[in-house]
Amino acid sequence: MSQPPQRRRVVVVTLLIVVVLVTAMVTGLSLGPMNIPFGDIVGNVLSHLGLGHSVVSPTQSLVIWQIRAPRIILGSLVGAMLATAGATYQGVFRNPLADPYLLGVAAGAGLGATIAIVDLGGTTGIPTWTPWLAFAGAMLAVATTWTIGGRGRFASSTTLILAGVAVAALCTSAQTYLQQSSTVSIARVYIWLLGSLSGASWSSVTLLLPYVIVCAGVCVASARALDVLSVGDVEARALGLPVTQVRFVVIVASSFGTAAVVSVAGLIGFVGIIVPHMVRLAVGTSYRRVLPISLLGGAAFLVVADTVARVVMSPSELPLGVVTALVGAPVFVIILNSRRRFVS
Amino acid sequence: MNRVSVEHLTVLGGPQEVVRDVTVTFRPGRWTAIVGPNGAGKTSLVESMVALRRVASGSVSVAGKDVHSLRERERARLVAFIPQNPVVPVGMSVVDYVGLGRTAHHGILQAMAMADTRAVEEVMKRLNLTNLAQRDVATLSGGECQRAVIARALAQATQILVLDEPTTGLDVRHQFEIMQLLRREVDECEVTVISTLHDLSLAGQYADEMVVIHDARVVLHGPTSEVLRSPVLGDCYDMDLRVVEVDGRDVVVPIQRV
Repeated sequence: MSQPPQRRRVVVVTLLIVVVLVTAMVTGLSLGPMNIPFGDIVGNVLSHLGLGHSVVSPTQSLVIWQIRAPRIILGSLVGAMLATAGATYQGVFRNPLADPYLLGVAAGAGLGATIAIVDLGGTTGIPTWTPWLAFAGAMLAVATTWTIGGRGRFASSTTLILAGVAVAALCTSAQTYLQQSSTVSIARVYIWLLGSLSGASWSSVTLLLPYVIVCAGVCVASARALDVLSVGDVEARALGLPVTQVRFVVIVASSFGTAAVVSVAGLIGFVGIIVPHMVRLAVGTSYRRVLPISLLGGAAFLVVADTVARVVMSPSELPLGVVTALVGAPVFVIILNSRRRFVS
Repeated sequence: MNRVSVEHLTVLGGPQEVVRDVTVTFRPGRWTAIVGPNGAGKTSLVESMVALRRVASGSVSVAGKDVHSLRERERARLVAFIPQNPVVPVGMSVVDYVGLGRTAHHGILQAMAMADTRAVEEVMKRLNLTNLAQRDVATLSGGECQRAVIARALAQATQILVLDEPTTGLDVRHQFEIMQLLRREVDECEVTVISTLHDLSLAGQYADEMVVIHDARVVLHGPTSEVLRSPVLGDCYDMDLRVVEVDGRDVVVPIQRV
């Protein structure tokens, strides 16, 4: 009863995304204020794998492996997590407009980060506290949302979304007040809010990696449950799905992962909405396909976007959140128009 | 495995009692139609039978177990439920949709086992859906869609089937097709079918027993042919109901009271 053409399509799309991801990674290693030829990068990577020998200088090697490589890896982790969390939220809320920031993660993280920058930071730079406070703020916001709208056997996704709206509004108002109260730090708050990978290092990669593996793993493993949820809470329950528990686990995983990502990269918008929808247009609506392919697609998308952000106005950088929307929105519209049938 | 009984059940819909102290034992392996005017409490009653409603007092027991203390998965292996307007997901193939019925059998994290795939195939063949297997459920016609919904419930492989208005929105031929299909499950597999029905003639021709609900209470319960001829039934609707026998089957003709 399988359908060979569709299966082939899934394979082709997956391979295509892998090719884009790898190409973007190598291109990202090569481009920057210090341009290193593409071929030299490939040679250098191969030499690390024990094939041939490298022609790049020690300085170039340092730039490649200590500055650009961790940033690219971080970018792919961030993109993978945001896209997976976005797809998961869309499934669990049965709402095509859901994004990973729906339940207050962004507003909470923004508030935490603003507190760190305005109240605890000095007069320059982003204090080292920022990620931790952002993480705490995000988790606190989601926990509040869940406490208000998500408990009880008969709580629905609607009550949860509405609670999220209220909590986000509250956090945003507090955040705006704090931000406006200090003119010295307002620019730094804005930079953080727009999202960036410029602080990437191997230590931030190793910090984030376990969160992303566990959280994205839980989301991908819940694909089948999300498919069942597509018939709504009532019928899913009648089919034997413990809806409340599933929703809890899935929301905790995607919110936790998103909070971790946001705390190191700021608020990068649009990835969580656009990537899953592009994937749906390509391979259909089943979460068993959408989730793993969104994970790959999110990584590829963000590595491309970050490379654009670094290169376009080199040596200065565009905010990553600006690029994801600027690149993402038109691409999305084009794809949407090229496929008549938009599956929500 | 196919017994359902409701004892002193009271269900609240807001401040009102939508089901009031209802006690019914459904005959196992038979088809019971729940009838009554709009707003009488039929939907609340069937929904609380599958624990989709919070119950104020009383209990529902399914296969000897209290339905409200069962876990979702255990319950879904005993009783399948189809709401009046099932949600039709967009972009899901019919075979995947019917496969949702196996959720309680293979678990949340596991893929479908061979037994699940075989059960789905078998049900689809029985309901004549095999040639629609790869169609998007959202593109099916009303009759085909309702067959897919029933197939999903049958794939759950339960001995009890609870349906809320299974013929809503279907033309005459498809109404009878669905009824025929459920009748076969009762006759061949001894499944207990409990369904709300608005069409008294359909109920008269297919159901073994009838429960009449009026104002949140059970006012009548008995063999279909007796219930249809009781004056109490007409009083519930404030209509005169004439029962006409056509080829040995009861057809109900409602006539407005003057």
